[in-house]
Amino acid sequence: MINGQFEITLKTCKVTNIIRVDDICKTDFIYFFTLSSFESFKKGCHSLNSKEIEEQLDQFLLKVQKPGRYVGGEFNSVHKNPDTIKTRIALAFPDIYDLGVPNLGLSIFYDQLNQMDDVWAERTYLPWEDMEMEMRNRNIPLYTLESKTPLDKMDIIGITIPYESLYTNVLNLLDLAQIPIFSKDRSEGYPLIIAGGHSTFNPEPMSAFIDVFVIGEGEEVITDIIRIYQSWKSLSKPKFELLHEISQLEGVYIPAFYEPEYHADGTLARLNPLYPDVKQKIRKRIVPILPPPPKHFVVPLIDVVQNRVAIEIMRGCTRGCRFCQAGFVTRPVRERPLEQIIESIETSVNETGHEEIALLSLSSSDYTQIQSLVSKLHDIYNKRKLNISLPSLRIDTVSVDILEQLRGSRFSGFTLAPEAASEKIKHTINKHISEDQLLETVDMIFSHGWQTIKLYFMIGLPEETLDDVQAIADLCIKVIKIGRKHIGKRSQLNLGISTFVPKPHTPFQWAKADDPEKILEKQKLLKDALSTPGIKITWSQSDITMFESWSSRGDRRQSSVIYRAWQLGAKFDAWQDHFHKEAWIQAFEENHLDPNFYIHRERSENEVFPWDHIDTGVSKKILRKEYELSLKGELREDCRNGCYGCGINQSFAAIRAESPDAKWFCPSIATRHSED
Amino acid sequence: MNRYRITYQKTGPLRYISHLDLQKIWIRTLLRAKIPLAYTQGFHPVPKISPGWPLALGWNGFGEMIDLWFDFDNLNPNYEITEKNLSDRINQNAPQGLNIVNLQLIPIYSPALTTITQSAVYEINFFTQISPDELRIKMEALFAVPSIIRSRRNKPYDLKPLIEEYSFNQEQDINTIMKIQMAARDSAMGRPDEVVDALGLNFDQIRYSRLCFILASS
Repeated sequence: MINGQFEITLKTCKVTNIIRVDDICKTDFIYFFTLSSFESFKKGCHSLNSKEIEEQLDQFLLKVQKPGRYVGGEFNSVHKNPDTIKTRIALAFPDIYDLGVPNLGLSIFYDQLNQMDDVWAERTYLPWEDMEMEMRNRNIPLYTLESKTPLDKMDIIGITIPYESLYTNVLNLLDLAQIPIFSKDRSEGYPLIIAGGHSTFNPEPMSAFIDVFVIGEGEEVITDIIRIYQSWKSLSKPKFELLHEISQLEGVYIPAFYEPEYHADGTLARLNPLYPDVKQKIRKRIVPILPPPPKHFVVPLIDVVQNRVAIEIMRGCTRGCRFCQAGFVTRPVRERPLEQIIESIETSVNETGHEEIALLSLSSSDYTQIQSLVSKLHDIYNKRKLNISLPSLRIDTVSVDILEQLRGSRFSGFTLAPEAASEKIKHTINKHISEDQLLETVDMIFSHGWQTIKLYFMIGLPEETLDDVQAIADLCIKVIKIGRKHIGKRSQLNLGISTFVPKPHTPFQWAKADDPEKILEKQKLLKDALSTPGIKITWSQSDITMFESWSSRGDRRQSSVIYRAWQLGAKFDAWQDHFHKEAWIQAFEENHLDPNFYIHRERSENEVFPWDHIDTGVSKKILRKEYELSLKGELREDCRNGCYGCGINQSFAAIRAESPDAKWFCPSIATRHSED
Repeated sequence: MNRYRITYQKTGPLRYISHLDLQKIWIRTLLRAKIPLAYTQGFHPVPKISPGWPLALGWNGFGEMIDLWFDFDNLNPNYEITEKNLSDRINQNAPQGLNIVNLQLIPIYSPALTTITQSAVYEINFFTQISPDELRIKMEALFAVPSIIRSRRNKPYDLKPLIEEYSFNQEQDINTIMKIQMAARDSAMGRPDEVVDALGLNFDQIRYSRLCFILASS
């Protein structure tokens, strides 16, 4: 027991106050314990070890729904001998297993990190409420699925936060792991908490809880962080030294090293670095060439939302739709070679036994070799019972041909995202698909035997009037009429009408979100105009839209709002019936903040945004220019057809120069810029 | 097409996996093992597999059974088909807790597993919560009555005829273990947890295992 390792965590019976053995050893406190009294102390209130957790689980797992979520043991999950491991990492998805397992980002890290001999990456997900209650009642800390090790025994916890409605879940995850929620309360003995994912392009709302944000693509920077961590740990230096050294890496943001200053009106004046050698701006990290996709996907034992192999065929997008955050923050466009895609489909199908493959990208039709990719896949997999899905296709008849080739036995519907129907709004958002083109595509879909079309539209866009919404209704009627012409009453149009939320790092970051009353009015218009057989509409819930609006463009002060809302019971905010509006409103009030300040305020041209220190490579000047063009209703062409200097090429010229073969679809620029 | 009858263990994390999820696990395991399953005919072909009676969630299975139909025409021709090769290859590609203990070729049109299953043998581990002697006395008392009427899914039934045999472990063992053979037919399905419940012994810690099925000799 108290051998040289000092691995046992002593804990006072109050959950909040944790004393570690190594802390105790610094004082002479340890000598107060004789061997036997230490044992009884340990038995009374120590935190559980892996074996005890496993034994406890066996006693109550049958009481919870889907116990298979909590036991691990999946094929391709990685088990290592802890004695040979220098650094133990938990990769965490702050929602339930069913949603976390398919997450591609974590799958990439899991595969990549476990290839390192001295590193063991394990997985953890948030338990559903029934399991959480059992765990809290029994004082079982959140554990890793592979070895059932409590999370506080890890060196590093990497949390992915792809969307804002996971914020309170991140707090709950730390709390269940019996780790202090605030970064400032975590001393050297606690794991280093790293976060990444799309929502962290505005890291400020979560800044109080996270030690290190990884901005952009993590494939390279994660290993840099691990190496720094390893040498820091071997020297047992203070945590500040660790954070300081990590802060010198590209693409890393340590919120504790900055302090905001506000104007009297509540807008941000500036974010001050607290130390002279801390970067003013944090440029996102990218990889010049996409590394080969992961091969060893964990195969869940139970049914999860997307039980499939996902392969990213391309990263980035040149279309420039002005509402789309992903389109701006993932530039430049980098494609995966065709051969690599084919090869990794083959390996991962063999490695997993999955019968479904999803080829992911923001705009699949723009993959330059899409035709040969599809026909190759057709040749290879036509005979095997494999379902291949290819989302995000352009709205044209070519896409119908493509999907026809991939059409498996279970292919049922066809999804398109025109987003807007009126000419005006198509110009505003810079996504212009002519009505003729859309209807021609629809005609082809129905005439080729598909029965269901799903169309996505957005309402609540800047400059939108009821006429623009009426245009959506008119268009949908035309669509269903085409369906009826071909296949009669079997034709089905499923509409997804979402409400627009202005996002950071997009041209609409200055815009106000639409008023809730207007949204209701627009939804009513659509509901009345489209109450006809064969059309089914799903809406985004207004409360959740509101939540997304304030949190996506939030500042540092929202950390205390998030904390308070969580204390008041907010969690699983992404789950429709779980959003706890009252908790959030109360949390805002208690912190003297107004949600409308974040939601319904048009920002002035020169306002300093809470996310301005995060540099995606696309300049704020160009985003502003795009916003102005949008208000004037002017389109901007796909930038593959003519660079308009968004800034990405200049920002990453040096990286690009290192990998001259990298095809980026950006014009080559003189290397002298690479010094910038 | 070849039909194989497989006896396997379902233990560890797999105890918490449902009967339905387990069928998907079999399909994926065979895909990984590159042993082609035969598919049903028709508009929506599905792999031909036919499992034995479901095992309750949380219980160990040491002699579970499943029938699988393989389509060796699509197998890599370099691969030598022996029972050992097949079961090794499946074991290598199975998740933790799924292990084949026996695999044998059976006639393609032999009756379904669930049709020929007569009984199942279970082991109930009470740990130290009751002594074997106390348990024996309780069992004898239970059997003293002409019928043990229980209700399952709001339907009354007699548990007594479903219990075929039972025995207890030796005194010197630390844990108290009862072995019980119960009917396992479509019309008569005995559950050992019902016996435990009838004995009034619902302790926190009881481990159930199904040791094997007893098939009708054909």
